Amino acid sequence: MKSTEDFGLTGPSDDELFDGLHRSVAGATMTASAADVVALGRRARTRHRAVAAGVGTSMAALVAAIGVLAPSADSGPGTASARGLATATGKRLAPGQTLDIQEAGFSLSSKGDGKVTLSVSEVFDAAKIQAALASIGISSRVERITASEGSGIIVPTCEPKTGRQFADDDFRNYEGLSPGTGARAMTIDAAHIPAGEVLVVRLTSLKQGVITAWSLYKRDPGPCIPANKSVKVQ
Amino acid sequence: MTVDQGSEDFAAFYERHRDPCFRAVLATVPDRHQAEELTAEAFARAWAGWRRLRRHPAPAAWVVRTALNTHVSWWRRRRREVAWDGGALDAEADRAASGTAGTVGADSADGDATAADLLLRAALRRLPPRQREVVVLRVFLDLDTKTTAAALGVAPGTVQAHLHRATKALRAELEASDEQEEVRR
Repeated sequence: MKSTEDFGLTGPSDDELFDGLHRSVAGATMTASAADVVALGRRARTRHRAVAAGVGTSMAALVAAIGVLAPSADSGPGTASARGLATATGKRLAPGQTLDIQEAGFSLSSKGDGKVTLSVSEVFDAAKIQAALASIGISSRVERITASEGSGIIVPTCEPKTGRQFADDDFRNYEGLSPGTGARAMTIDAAHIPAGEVLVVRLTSLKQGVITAWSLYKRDPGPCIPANKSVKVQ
Repeated sequence: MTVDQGSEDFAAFYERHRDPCFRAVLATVPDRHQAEELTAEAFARAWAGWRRLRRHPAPAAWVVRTALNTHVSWWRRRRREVAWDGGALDAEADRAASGTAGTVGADSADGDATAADLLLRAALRRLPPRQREVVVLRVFLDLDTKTTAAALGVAPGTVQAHLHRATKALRAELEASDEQEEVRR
């Protein structure tokens, strides 16, 4: 698989450099088994904070797997109502352009690398978050969900329209999202989100804290309609 | 325990790529235990998203990038709490330069590594993140330019440019070290 077509650009001793790097870690092996890793994955998947952090870029897959969470627009547990799509209205950040929006409930910042980090507090205004994202050229749908909690957390699944389930094809892969610092922070690389794609952030309010699910859709998924099914998160 | 996430055989993927991924992470992280934790966590995330990840152009590259991004998050958290011990890298380089590579210790993976090798590794850690990623994917995962570019979501020419700058910087570090050695003599 390796090719050296670009090694030649950098001089004849590149191979020595790379051999040296190889030697510096040669012989190092992982001690964890596949079963250990899977166990770690299972634990992480059931931890609220791991889910909240999006578990890196696997969040889209997780959201797809559990059917996507239902919004409730600040109403009672398990109920949902739709929030509209906020279509991009502003221009995306130019190279070198920094951003620092601090609002009650969320912050949006960029260090000038074209990526923006959105951090959401437990108490937030979804419409303001959508508007802020739209102002920097990112179409989004931010929805609030209230789960019912008993012996575990029951999150109603949702569907794009009655009788239809979200499918893998509705989602874009996770490129463009990476966890930021904190449980509800995500760094968004707008360069990986073509026009027409939509960032969907679903925030599930719990008695203690908020679970945040992030995903990218190839097109606006529309408001989430609660399905008759629900998913026990914990 | 079964490895049943997705229909692909995640275990086979793990067995095939775990050591190269671990070495790639180890090359960029000062602590061996931390490197193993980061790699294991990244693989765990890969397992959780395996149904999608298996379609990735280079799943192993995703694992390494995830581990490195997680490391950045840890570093940021730590930086907020205490001053980051950036001197640790310099100390490693100094030890390597002074010929005491054998005492570099916990993350020194192999006795065959020369002082220059460890100096290189310390220099690798000082590269800008994107250059470091390119070197790691090209060298430790043995990816070609096209696959590296796909994994990073950039153009192949960008990969070549980063690699060029990275090797130039690494070479400069080595030359500077050689000069210091000459002065010592």
